[in-house]
Amino acid sequence: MKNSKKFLASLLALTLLAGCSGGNAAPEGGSEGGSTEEGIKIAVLLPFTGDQSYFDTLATAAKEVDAEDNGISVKIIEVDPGGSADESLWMNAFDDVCEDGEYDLVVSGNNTYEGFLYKACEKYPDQMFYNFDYSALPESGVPANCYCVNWALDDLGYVVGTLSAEMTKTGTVGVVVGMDNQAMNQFISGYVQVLADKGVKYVVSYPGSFTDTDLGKEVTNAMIDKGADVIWQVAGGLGNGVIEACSQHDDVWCIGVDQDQYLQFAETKPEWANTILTSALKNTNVAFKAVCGMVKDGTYKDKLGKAEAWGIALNGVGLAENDYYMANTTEEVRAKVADTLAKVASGEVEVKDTLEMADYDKEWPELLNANRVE
Amino acid sequence: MLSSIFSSLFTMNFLLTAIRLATPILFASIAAFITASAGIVNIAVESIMTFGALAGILGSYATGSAWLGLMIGLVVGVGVALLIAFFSMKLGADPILIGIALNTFADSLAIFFLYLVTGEKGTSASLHTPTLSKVTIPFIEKIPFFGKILSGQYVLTYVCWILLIILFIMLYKTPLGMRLRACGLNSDAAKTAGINVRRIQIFSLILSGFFAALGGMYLSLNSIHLFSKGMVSGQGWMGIAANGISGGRYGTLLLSAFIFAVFRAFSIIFSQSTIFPVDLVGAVPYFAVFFFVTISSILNYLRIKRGNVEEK
Repeated sequence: MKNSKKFLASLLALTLLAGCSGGNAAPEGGSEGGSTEEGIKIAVLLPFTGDQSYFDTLATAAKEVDAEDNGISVKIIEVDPGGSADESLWMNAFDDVCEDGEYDLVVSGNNTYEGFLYKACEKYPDQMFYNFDYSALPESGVPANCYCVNWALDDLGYVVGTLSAEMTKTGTVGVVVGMDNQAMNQFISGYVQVLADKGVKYVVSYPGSFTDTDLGKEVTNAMIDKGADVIWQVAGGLGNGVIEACSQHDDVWCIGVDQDQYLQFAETKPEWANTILTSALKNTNVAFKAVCGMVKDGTYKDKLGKAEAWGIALNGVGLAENDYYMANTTEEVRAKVADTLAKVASGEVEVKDTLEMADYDKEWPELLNANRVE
Repeated sequence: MLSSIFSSLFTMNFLLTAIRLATPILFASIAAFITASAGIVNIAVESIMTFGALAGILGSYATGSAWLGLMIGLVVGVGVALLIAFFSMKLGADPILIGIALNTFADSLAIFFLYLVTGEKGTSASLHTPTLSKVTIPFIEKIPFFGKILSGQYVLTYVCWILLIILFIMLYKTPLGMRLRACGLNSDAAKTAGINVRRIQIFSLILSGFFAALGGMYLSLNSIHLFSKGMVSGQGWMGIAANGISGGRYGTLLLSAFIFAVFRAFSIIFSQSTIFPVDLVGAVPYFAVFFFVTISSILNYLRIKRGNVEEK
């Protein structure tokens, strides 16, 4: 009994020591990318990574930029693994990276966390910031030391809807959306709009979770029972369940989200990859790399104080046109999709956007339920 | 609208969905039940499920066999249960606190190990992992109605059903089961009768870890075929709630676990309908928990008041 207590005590002491040394070593480890002292330093503040959302896309891009021999070192800081959106946590993290003026650029964003970024913009007027995804700008307008971008998700949904309408054989398609809120619904506003226009029926499911994979699988099974044969998932980790359910049915296509999910599974889970026709890409990586380039050649200053939508024209959003997609779609379908892409990019088609609705609570249900199957 | 909901309620597919969703909750509920019967609380079911789910997948990757992976997952589940036994019985810590500690760091620790092996923090998708499949039983599958229920389920669903029967026999028909329940009813009396209470409780914790790990591996190895961050998503807690409702009755336990699964299946239908407020969909199973716990406490209270049962 006593022995075991002593053993535990010494174990604890050892852990503490290890913790201390680990803490000291971390900053050195962070800039392993082979950059020089005078190189450009960028800090990326994400709540967490590994949730298969665009946070991951951005983190991967950050690692790639860091690894390249280009004089840019990028440090990713996972601020809020629990997703608590706790103000003290975030403001501390911003203080850490902004106080010394050590970094040339501080990157953060997303509708849940951008409020903290704007506070930091105010607190550190000399620091340059980049908001990789804004949804609600502060009332005073875009901060003068920040460049804000967002993703024309409504346009993206419009293209996915067009493709789904072309691919369906049953005349019914479906989408699984993790949560029902204005920001998530931006994904599907264009989607339901184009489907209703074309007279294609759709099932929309809001399981209310981004992690419950088993529920995601059964939600999708229920959709397939209702006749849906092209199912788009916009639900993070829960989407794994959606892909699994689609892979069990030969005649059901799944459409991935955020990154090219066919490539993600192609090597180790071919049965999953083979059900993923294409993915709706949100190219946070393209924009991030562009921003890194601008910081390096000094043109980033011109972007400060601006807010821009990265749409189809800038390759901010689009479909993953990999070999598998090419092999499984006809020339005709691809032509229609390309035509839609061009029309949306040129503004010929006006896509409805939940974030721009004057009266969201009234307009959105009308649009959503236009041709919805229960 | 309403009619479409009703028409999807009374279908074969709805029943099958509920049966599939019931497996992990059943595993979790017997994991909580077996320790409660022996008079020790194990609220770490959720975390053991997470560890089991991950260990099963990593084990199947390391050994190249889903069944060996299953064994490794079981060893890890039992190991965590033994950790609870060590801290609570050897070092005298409160099992509730140990449970809270385990539940608090389970998700993060699982991601840590996942990251060590795969370099990714979300899923085990980058690993080649053989997994378990469904079982079709010839002849039985041709029986109308029952054929669809009895055949074509996942392997671990059958394992679950068989274990439920074995556990019932063990608990209620063997001396070991009597002793185990005696420890839970009155440990002092059990001690006087010459039962080694501590040993029995450790035994119940081992079983608990075993069942909880199976519940986790049903999700990762059998249903989804990979480990995904946070995939247990509260199903362990539903098992603990089912145990709370059961009041020590085995039949009630299984029934309440199945009712939770039915409510999870309801939430699927609601999540696709327009008449139900979507924000409440995720809360449906928990409302059910709340509702049934209340009902069962009222019934218990009435029974005690009538004097039919001794107050525990």
